[in-house]
Amino acid sequence: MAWFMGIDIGSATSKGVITKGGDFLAYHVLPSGTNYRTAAQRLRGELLAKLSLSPREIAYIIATGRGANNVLFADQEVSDISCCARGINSIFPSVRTVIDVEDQSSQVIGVDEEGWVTNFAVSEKCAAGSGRFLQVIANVLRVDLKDVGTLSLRSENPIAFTTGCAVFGETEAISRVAEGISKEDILAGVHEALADKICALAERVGLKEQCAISGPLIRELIKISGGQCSFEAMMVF
Amino acid sequence: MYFAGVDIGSTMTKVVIVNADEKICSRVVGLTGAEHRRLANEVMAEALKQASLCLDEVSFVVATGYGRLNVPFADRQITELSCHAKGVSSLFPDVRTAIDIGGQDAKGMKINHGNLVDFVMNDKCAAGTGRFLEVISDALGIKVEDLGSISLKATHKVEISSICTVFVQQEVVSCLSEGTPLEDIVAGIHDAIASRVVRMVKRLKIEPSVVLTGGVAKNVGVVKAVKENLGCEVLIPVDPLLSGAIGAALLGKELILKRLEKGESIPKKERRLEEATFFR
Repeated sequence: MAWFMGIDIGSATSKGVITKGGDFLAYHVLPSGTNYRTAAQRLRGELLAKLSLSPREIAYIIATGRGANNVLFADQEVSDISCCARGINSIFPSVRTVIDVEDQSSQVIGVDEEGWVTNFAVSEKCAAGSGRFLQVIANVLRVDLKDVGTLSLRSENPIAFTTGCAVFGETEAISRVAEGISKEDILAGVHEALADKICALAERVGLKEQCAISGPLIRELIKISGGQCSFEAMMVF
Repeated sequence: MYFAGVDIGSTMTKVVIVNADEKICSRVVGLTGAEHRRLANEVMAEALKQASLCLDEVSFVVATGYGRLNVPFADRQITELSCHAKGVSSLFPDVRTAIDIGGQDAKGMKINHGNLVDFVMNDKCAAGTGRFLEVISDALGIKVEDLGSISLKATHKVEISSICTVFVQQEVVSCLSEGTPLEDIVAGIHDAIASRVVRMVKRLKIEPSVVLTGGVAKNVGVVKAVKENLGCEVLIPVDPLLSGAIGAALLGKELILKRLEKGESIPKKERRLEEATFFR
């Protein structure tokens, strides 16, 4: 049975997996850095090393993500939307809507029983509709990005952000800090503001149950989601 | 008789005092500051000093702009759109379209004989406002007031692919690290802000002549880029920050004259030059 590799070069992190016979045998996640080609090379090296394979033993390689065209050793490029849909389908076959929140974009994807995309909507023009909004506010509050979720859950009075812009939101967060509002309440407010934007996107696609959330911000899912897109890559062909 | 216009913007507070002949007796621009809105009284005091007046000699004070509700010594609040339309027409009587790019918003206005006919506005997104230039100049490590002269040295214009200020910030930093000349990046930034504002203003039917006001109009690079994007000549007031405050003062004068014509007396309000309470 043949080995397949999926490489997903995202704006912040690069993810790769190797599968065989539909089983998910190795994965690796590393920062994309400034040189996507190097990231792709390193990713391949790490993955092959995990299973002690040589590059020749991989039957087919699919690249996806923002930096897919930098994966010079790939046999094919497939859009991240298709890959995300198929990846989620392989993990959660009953899911019909995927909400994928990335560092620089968000997408809501309708998925059919076989993992094909039925429709989708993408928000990539505005930082306030992506994970970057959380990063911007976390910087203001001097909180590590990995802690923002947990802290926000402790909020008793989430603040309402009056703006839908990450830059104006930054100013607003600074004003709230000056007024003595807690980090928890500000963070809960940012999460609500981001969720509002994503829900508006989901409405455009039409939300069908069940729903899955993926992306690097979903901390608990980080390992799965890291592999998802690339995992999908191999199933597409 | 004297009339004052106080325009409290997100970044700058502007005060203009005009006399009965509509001649400007004083003009002061101060920072709105982090203490927000509280400094209106200081800027007003400075304007009175410049004109050698005391507050009681001013017949009517109109406050406008983002912080207009926080001017305790104002007799009336009027929206900045009406004030801009009035102010711009007083400076350029034939103007039909005005574009104002402020510190935190941008507006397009259709004007007919000093009256506002239609408008478009963006105060939701930092891209296309002065804030965009502040954030980007900060990322480039240069002063916002130097952007204009730097961009004029550009030989090429970098194509900025992002819209969001946050993403553009990252884009310019990577341009710098790739060795792109600073002036080419700055020229690209000016084109990005100008094309965004012009695209919005084109929702109105643009009729020449066009006037550009607001703090961003002081940037020669943006003025050039707006001209290119509009494809027509753009007029700039001598002091582009003041059109709102001038309009406010003139609208105050109109209100008083109307009252006097009807035989009504000028309302006397007990005014004191005091600080606004925060977020009143």
